[in-house]
Amino acid sequence: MATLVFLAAFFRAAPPVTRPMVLCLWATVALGGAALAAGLAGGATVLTPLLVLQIFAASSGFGLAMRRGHYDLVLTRGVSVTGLMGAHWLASILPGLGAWLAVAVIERLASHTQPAALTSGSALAFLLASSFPWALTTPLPRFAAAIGWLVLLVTSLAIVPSGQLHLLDALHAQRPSPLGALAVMAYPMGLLGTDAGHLPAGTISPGLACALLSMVGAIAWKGRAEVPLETAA
Amino acid sequence: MIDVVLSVRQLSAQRSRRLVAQAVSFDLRAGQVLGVVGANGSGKTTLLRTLVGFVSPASGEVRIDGRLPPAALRVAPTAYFAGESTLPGFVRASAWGSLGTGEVVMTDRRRIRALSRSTRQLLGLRTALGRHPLRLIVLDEPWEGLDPDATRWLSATLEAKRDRGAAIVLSSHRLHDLAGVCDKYLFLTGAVPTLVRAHDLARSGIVSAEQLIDAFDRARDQATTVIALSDGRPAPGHALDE
Repeated sequence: MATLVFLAAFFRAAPPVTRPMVLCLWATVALGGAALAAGLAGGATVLTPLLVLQIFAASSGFGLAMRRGHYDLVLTRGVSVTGLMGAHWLASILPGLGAWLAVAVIERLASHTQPAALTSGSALAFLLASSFPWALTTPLPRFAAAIGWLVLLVTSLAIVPSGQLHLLDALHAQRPSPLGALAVMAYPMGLLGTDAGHLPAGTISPGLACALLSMVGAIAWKGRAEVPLETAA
Repeated sequence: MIDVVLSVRQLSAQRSRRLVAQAVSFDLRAGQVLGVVGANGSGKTTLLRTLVGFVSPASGEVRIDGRLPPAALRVAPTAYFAGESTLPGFVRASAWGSLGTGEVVMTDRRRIRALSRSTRQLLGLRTALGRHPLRLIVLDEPWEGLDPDATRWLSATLEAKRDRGAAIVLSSHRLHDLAGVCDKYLFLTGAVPTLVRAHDLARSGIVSAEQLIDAFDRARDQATTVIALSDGRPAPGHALDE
């Protein structure tokens, strides 16, 4: 219990998500909330920029901070690297999760309907945006995964004929296809506000498996890794 | 009963598959101080991180209060600090300082990167040493960048912690820092470090800087000779077991 309290205090003092990023998240909630209340936009539209910001927020660069000795104070409390990583992941996704739930509450109050943020498709999109980028930036610098995703998205839109529409068609097609599976990874905003239960398992499973395996892989690899200092000789 | 806090047996430490210290064996009792001396790049940081379990040893073992780290750190309160460069610069100084015991050790609300080097070093030390009681203290170049007032504070704090039963490991590449402070010295002069007792260097056990420099030079010359005789291969049996 004392360890959990210390971890909470530590990540409150040294949050992995930068303050400008948190401000961006809440500015998006404020603007989106106003648009929702005025009936100018639907829940899925408001969630789209939040999802993009969450991909950047979750790309929080655990490994680099670790190698610089930022977590030595935690490790001297006897916290395992695996436990530290779990806490770091939670601290990385919580600001985005808070903003996500705030949009859900606003939409519920404004329209009295099932909020788009709470559909299974939105939950899947949030999970993908919160897991894969965090796992990839375990060995890579902050934002590297988000930048990689932007490159993948722009490349997909450029090489796929009629870009976004084609990705959406592949994503919601009744028969799974490699392009549909790619769309889940490259264009998760296509899942916002949808019922993921209606999508073929072959479309969702590769992306979900990649996200979960990347998390397990990152924790298993880094949890056993040494923690030398970058400056150490 | 001898109260051994840190027990090191045939320890070989490595960084990136390069051995930085071999066959190190010693016991450190409560209230004792070990000084790790070596040039820049000799492996002091890697050895110290191995002692607290952040880096796995290539061979041998470390025990803190009879347990292997990092699990031992849960039951034996330990302070470790590797210098101001390990502090996250974006964090507010007052917030970081409160992580030691929850008490405020610095009221400055500026970000750590905005502080002077001396203040950053002092903040890191005060946070790490803020816990009570401490069983083991491992500090890597703790005097680096400290101003005279902070240096006096550090000496007084370490003395108080030692008197309350903490075992202390200090590293420095400046021999003057460690002279007169330690009960034992570990010289990282070659592949196999040399361990000497303060009482072997000075009858009173209070080693002067000159005596320490002489001993370090002798150890380095000896290590160079041993390596030359063994055609570049490190020779075993250079460390003193207790």
